[in-house]
Amino acid sequence: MREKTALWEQLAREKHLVMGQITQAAWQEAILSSAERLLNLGLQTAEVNKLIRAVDSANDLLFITDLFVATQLDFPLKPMPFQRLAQSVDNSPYSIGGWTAALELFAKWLEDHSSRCDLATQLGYLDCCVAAIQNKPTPPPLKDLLEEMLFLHGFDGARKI
Amino acid sequence: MLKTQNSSVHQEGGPDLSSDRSQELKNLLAKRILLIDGAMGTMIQRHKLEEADFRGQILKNHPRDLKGNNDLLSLTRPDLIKEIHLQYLRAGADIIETNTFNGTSLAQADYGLEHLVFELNQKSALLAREAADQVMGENPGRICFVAGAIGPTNRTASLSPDVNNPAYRAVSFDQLVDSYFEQIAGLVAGGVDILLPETTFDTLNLKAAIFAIEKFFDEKAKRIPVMLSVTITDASGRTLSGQTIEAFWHSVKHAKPLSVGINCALGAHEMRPYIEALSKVADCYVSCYPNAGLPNPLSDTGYDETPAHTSSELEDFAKAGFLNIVGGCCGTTPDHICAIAEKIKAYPPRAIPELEPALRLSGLEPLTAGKDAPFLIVGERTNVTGSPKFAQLIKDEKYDEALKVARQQVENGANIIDVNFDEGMLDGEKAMTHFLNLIASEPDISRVPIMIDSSKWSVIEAGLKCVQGKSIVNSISLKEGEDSFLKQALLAKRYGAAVIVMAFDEKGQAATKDDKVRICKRAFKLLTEKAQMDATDIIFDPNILTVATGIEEHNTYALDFIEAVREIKAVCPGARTSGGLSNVSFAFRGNNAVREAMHSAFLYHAIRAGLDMAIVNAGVLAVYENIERELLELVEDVILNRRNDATERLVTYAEKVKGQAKTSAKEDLGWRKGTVEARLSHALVKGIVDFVEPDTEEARLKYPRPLDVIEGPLMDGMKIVGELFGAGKMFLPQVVKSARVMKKAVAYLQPYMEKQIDNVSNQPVFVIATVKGDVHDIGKNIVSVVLACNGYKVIDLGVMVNCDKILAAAREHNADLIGMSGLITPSLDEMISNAKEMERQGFKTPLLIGGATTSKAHTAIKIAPHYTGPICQVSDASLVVGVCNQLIHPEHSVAYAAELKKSHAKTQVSYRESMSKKANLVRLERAREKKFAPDWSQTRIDTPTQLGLQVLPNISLEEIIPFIDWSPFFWTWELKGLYPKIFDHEKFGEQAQELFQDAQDILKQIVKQKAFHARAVYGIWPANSVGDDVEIYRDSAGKDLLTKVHFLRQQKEKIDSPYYYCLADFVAPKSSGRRDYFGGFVVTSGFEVEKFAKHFENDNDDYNSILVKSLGDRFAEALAEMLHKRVRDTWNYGKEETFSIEELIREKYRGIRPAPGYPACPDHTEKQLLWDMLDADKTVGVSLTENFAMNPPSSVSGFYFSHPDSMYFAVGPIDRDQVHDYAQRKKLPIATVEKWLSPNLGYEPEDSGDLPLSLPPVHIPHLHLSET
Repeated sequence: MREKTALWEQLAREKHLVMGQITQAAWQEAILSSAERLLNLGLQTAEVNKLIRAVDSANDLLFITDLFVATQLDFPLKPMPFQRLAQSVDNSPYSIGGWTAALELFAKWLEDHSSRCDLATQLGYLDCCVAAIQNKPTPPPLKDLLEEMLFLHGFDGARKI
Repeated sequence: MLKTQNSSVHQEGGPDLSSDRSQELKNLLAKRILLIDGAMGTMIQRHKLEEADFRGQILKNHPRDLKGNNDLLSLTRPDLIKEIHLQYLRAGADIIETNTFNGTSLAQADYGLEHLVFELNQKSALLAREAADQVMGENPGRICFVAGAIGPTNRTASLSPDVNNPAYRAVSFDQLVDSYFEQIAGLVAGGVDILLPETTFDTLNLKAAIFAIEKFFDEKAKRIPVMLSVTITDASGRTLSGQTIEAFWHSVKHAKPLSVGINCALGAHEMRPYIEALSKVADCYVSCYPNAGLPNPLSDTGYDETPAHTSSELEDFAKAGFLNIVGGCCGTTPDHICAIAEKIKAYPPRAIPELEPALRLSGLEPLTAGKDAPFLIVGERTNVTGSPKFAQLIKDEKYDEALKVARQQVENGANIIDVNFDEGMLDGEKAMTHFLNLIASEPDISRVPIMIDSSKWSVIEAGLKCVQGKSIVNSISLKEGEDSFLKQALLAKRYGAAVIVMAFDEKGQAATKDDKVRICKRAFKLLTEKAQMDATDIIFDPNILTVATGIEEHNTYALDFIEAVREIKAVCPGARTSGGLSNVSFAFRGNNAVREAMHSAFLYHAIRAGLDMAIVNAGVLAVYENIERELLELVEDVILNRRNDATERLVTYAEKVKGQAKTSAKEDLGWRKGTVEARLSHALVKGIVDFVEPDTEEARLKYPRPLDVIEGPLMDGMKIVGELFGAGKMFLPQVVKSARVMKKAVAYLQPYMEKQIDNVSNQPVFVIATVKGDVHDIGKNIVSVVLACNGYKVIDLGVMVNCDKILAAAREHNADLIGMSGLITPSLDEMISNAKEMERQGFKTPLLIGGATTSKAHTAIKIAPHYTGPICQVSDASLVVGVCNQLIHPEHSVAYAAELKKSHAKTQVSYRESMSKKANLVRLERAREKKFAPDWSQTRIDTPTQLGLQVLPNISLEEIIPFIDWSPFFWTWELKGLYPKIFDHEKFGEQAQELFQDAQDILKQIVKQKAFHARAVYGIWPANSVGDDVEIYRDSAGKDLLTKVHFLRQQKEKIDSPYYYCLADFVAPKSSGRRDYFGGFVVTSGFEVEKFAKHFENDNDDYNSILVKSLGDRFAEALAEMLHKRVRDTWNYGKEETFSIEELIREKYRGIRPAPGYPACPDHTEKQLLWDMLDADKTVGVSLTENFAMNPPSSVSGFYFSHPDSMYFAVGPIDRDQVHDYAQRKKLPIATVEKWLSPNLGYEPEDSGDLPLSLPPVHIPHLHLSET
């Protein structure tokens, strides 16, 4: 555990150096808190590290962690979607920041519609959004694309609460 | 590690005959009824022990109370335990049980003594052994045996202790196995002769004990006899977990025990019917050791029966021939054993019955399928891959409703239910466990056996750990070789399951009869000889494949299956056969009448050949005798391959069946009784053209002027259509049909109106065109029709229209709106250029942008900045009327235009903001370092049988039809869904069926009149990759370069994926020293598509015109798919495929055919190289426009890659370094490359002249951290 913590502290230093935005201490706090929760959910250490390396901001990391936790709570039978998220991001022209912004909007939409949906299904819907604009010039921000798709086609993959 | 018979391990379950004591035990059992001892607890109670007795010295300071932990007395009061053993032995017991009923860590956890489990069991065994040896010493010639008692633990694996959560389990199968294993190790170390799991109240617990025993035997390479004993808890004759005695036996028979019996819970009298039943079905020795009657708290022993009473009941059992081993359980004493010994000595032991070979399964109840058993139905609806409804319920976690599906299957007659959770979005192991646990709580479902179905072994294993009954594993096969096959078979056997063996081997799926039989024979030999599996536990599935697909070699598939079944039953004695029935009729998706008839006829013949079971939708099987005669003959012609034209005849019949249904709906002519206005309105709304001319004539005579008919009833009807469409209550095909009625009515009136028609209500004018360099017009035509339906005068300028012509027409007709359409990405540049020109010429007319590659973002960011007039992208034909109405509305237009500008500004801001979250791009050099690089020395490269250019100038349209993917056809018409499920769609289903029927009618005309001219050209050449390019050679030596194709590499930084792909990675590099191959193709439905469509346009029938064009596109796509199959065969690797048409359409095969201009190779200009290679202008008459659109439009082109790992991907954003590199490779100016690759630029080119949107590209330095 000590080795892991040392690595995360080092990652916090590097994130602060490359991304700036917030203090090193704030990065460290976000990374340590997320890492612990993600490991508790059953993510592999290597997966946690990949996620930390990929994010552009501490807020994005915390948001994704919250999403994973919520998915585990609401949908305990669904697999942990780290690989699903990584695959979606890797196969799209968007950064993980773009995906996080879209997932935030999705969460808001679900809340407004008093609905819940597991993360893998949300990612599936976003994959479809991405597929719809593959090779279109000037791809819009993923969150705008999602907004448009939700408006045009709706979403019936959610569970009413 | 499981061992096969080749290892030096004894057959599972059977006693080790090399062991003297085992053999002596068998010898004795053959001669007489043996006696097992009585209650240990009852005897201990007599001593009225205190806490201190239990603690002894060793646990004096243990923090928990220990009184009542009888097993502990073996350590703390060994004298007392040994004395009890001696008393039983002296009373006549041949077998004594160790004092270890609660000797598992699970049970000892109540006392905090898990750490003493091994020692406790070992010591108990040693004590019993000492006592036995002592008595044997006192009585020379007498042999006494020690059985290691293994209790059921204090938890149950099949039942939930939480009534609110029936899927919960307090203990898992794996926990039980571990706990039992530890106990067994202690008992065997102490020298027991027999292992005796007893007092089983939950069969799943016992199955875990058996699993642990086999695991132990396997690890220690030592076996001793195993006795099993169950408890029937009440007069219902079932275990606590709900099984009948016969179902229980089927569940545990795989242990091949020395004996099976019943003990505890009941007195001998109450136990009689169950012992009798067991003695009839068990093909091993039978034991019985009842309680001394039912409990009575007032009695000294807690039980009523005296030795005389119990012994006379048991004498009756012996007399009836039920017994091989007899003794007592709770409440019995050495006196009882002595009395029983005396009473039974006169009776011979029970003879073990020889049972008929049969497949013996169980749920809560038994299922025995012997030689004359009826055909078994396996319910298929609880399978997420076969039932979309069930899949959705599981995804939504609506388990109550999912259980209803299972229940319906059982109620409808399913003898077994198949459960499958193979879906990418599900955690298969979790879902299987959860669902089977729920089923276990539903006796009306769990009464039948379960077929645990998955392509993942881990999911199957998860399922096996949940079922107490004897289930079926679906499936194992030789696909991954013999080792993996045997390993899975041995595990299935250890879990006590039968197996379905699919007829697959290392080469793939068996399609022919001979291959099916060959593979099944090989599997049978392996299973029976190496895995020592009972032949009756083997079920072969020789693959039911789809017939009537239009592919000649598929015609024998049904017959191959039927004949294979016949032969497999003959050459694999005892084995059963099964199959998934619905595959056979897959070619008739959406036509249930034909499918059900096919299923019934197929089963009729397959059952006669020996088929034992099939996976079907229980409850919807048609009765063979009730199938209509004509249909039956047609179906049997197909199934039995009786005629060459069997498929064609059945297809024709199937269409007729559907057509009839439609006609009957149409023939309801009640609406003809209304007024002429009502009739015209009805005809418009329903799109009925049959009466349009007489009705229009009647209206013309009624109204003062023909124009009044248009402005009156016709426009009124169209208003209704517009309103219904706007409200989503009508769908696009209906609107287009309505427009056809309107057009025909107006055409009829035209000769009577002369110039009047130009003045209809001052219609707004809409000028529309497909832009220069683009030929696609289906979307444009749909928009035209929709607007025309809503009162617009549409000036349609056609395709490939340059800007001057559009603007001239707009001036000439005083256009209120201008629409520009385009499908391919270069058309977007045309739109930007046209917008600039409109601005330059001072236009203020609203501009509508549409087409597949257009987007709201591109319009706002790239086009809107160049035009000050209103501009709007319309993504859906259903929205166009609303947008146009707003843009020309005298009061709202200004506000709406302002709203559009505001929306563009918002999009631009959002885009700017998103640039800060732009994906990082890795340097090209690094991306190339992380290319997909297989070990080329090991990679399979197939050599095509034919190289060079091949032209297919005239391809039969009938041959192409089975390859049509219908889903995109429905999308063209804005009906969202997948074929054939769309027919059941709540909203679009009815409309989809109607549209499909219309398409089939037109399709028939197309085929009959040979209205399309399908042709293709393709070529395969020797090739090698050189960096990110592929060199293509004329000769096999690679000396004569034909051309070089250029590809792009992914640069977006990955989170998890190890590779940055480029298509060139899928071709062997020159440096590998191996010659690879590369191909290309162009196919087309021909200009004949436009010509045939024109015929309908001339008849004012836009509906059929658009229908024809959309079918032209489908034919071209289907031909591309069909040709790819032919090319894979030519390339040699395709010959091994046995995919259904559905699987071909889903591209499950090896190899890809990406098109230049699409995500994996986004540069449209590479198409020119393909054209040069194939000489496509001349060979198939397909040309490229200046923007690389293919003309005729119903054409498809692409490259062929054959690498086994080749796959589609999107290149995505690329950086300047790659653009520079690419420009150099293609010897083109950078600006030109940037123009053609604009969709992929991950940066803003310097001379773009667009909004200064982006930040400079950021390269994140790669931090070299060690992976943890």
